[in-house]
Amino acid sequence: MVSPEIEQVTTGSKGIFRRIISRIRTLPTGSIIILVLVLCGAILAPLIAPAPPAKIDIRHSLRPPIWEDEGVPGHPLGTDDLGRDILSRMLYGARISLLVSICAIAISGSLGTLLGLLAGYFGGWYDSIIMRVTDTFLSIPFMLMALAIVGVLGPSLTNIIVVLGITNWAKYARMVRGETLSVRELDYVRLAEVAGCSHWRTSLYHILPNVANSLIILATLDLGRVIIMESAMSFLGLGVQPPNISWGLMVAEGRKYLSVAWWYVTFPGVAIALTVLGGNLLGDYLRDILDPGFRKA
Amino acid sequence: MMNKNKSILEVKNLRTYFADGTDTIRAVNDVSFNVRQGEILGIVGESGSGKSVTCLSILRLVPRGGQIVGGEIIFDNEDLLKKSNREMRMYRGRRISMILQNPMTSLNPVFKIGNQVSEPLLLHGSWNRHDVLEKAIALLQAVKIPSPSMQIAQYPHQLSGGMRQRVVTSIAIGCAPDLLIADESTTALDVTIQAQVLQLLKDIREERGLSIILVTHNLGIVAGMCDRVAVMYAGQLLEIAWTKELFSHPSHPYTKGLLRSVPRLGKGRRRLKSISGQPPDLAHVPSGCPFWPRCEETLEVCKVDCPPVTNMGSQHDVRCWLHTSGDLLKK
Repeated sequence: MVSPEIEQVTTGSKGIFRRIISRIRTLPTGSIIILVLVLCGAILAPLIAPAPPAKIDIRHSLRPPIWEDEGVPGHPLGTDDLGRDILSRMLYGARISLLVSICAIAISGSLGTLLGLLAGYFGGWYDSIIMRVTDTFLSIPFMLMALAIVGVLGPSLTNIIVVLGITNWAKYARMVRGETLSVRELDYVRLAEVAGCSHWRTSLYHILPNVANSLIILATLDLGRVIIMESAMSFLGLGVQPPNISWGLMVAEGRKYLSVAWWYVTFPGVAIALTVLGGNLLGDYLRDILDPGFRKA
Repeated sequence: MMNKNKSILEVKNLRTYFADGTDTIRAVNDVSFNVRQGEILGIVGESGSGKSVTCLSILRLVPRGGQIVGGEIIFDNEDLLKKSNREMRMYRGRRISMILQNPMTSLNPVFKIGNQVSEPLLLHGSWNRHDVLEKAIALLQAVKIPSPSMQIAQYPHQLSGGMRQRVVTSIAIGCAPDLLIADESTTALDVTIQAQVLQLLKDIREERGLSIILVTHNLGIVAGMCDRVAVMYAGQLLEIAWTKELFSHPSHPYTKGLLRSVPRLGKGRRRLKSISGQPPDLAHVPSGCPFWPRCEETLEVCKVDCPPVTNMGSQHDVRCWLHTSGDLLKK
């Protein structure tokens, strides 16, 4: 006979409530919808944008969104100071923002992975040197380093990708090194060596796939961070330069008109916030399903 | 069938040391033995007696911090310690292979069985992709895995422990090696599976005529499997003899102690004797014979000098002052 208390715990209202919460937690519908929307918007920008992003129309400058009294048809989210369509600029801006963040993550991810593998697998001097460099990179404030590098190289699309890439690899190196250290002591790595695999083959073919889970999680969580960094740098005028468009740049341009045209900064800002949120939620979800350690917790 | 007297492997005065801060850990200290073609040599000893390091030294895969500091490893008339790393890789997996202790961690969780079985074949042979899969199926068949053509598409976590150890064995024999090192390869399995895997090793030996080094701490397995046995203690090889000879006439006090500490069925009830004391810390091995603090027949000379190897008859060597002739003792 099951005691009433136990029954209440297992089937009671609290249990159902918890299960709904966990169901919502396990299915990252929200984040997937956000990211798919952003991605589709970026890819299909030429097809769905109501106007060319650079088309100037002084007669309709600083018009509010369409649902406000002074809104004009054809500009659903209003126009900026030169009469350019905010929605179109956001769609094209998504292209640049995603391009920059994905390329930057690819650069920092591969650089960090390579160095982390080297440090973790070979150990000794490699480990000491690479880890000291990593510590140094982690201790320098990002903005300071980015300002310095852009100051030397000059702002451009390529440079901002490179800057974001090389200022961000240390995290990856550190994580990959840690994982490599634990994986390389496992029997199957030893057996790979026993079977006559070279060091490169052992580390790239046998160790790397076992580190990939954590890498994917870290990269997804990083997506939001890099978008914010890119926006911050564009906002400061050191990132994406006109005529290219990025969300951070739009916020920077709209700052002057904040008191008269709230929509100019609000919509790009919301886009940044939502995309970052989407990336973080997806990262959390991936961590839950890919990392057995977190799954139990 | 095969030339049973030819040595495939000769280890001479092997020393592998580990640096631990300022201490030197003599994990393998002056070990010599040989393995003949088609023979199963057992290596027994307590945990930390240097069995595994000896085996890894043969493949020159000493764990981090360790170094082979002296000796010779003659494999098929060539000294492996004089080979370059590249040459050494051609020995590993192709001519000497190894099975490790735990089948649960011996297979890479992210690759299918078929990929893992064919990997050494691709590394060492000139097979193309299609032939390799057929060869892999044949290998799985050889280790008696049911429906191998289905199993190659499985991931390791889908197989049981016994099956995984069979897969690991099939990987090890894939390139038809001359020497197979089984490092406590059955310790983690339950007894019935253990018996099956051991029988499998025996069958493989009969079929392919390879030599096996069987590292274990189970004297029952030694009695049932091995042609000869080597007893290791604190990095030294104390006694090596034919299995029958060792079990009927153990010479070293340590071997005697080991044999006394095995429970036997059907011989009446008796108190099980264990060897008193603990094995020494390898960084601080006592001077002289490493076993003297625990030995029941300690002589004065045991505490001072390390005993030389004494031949006790056909293929029976022991490292103990009790069996050293009088002349040497006086010196």
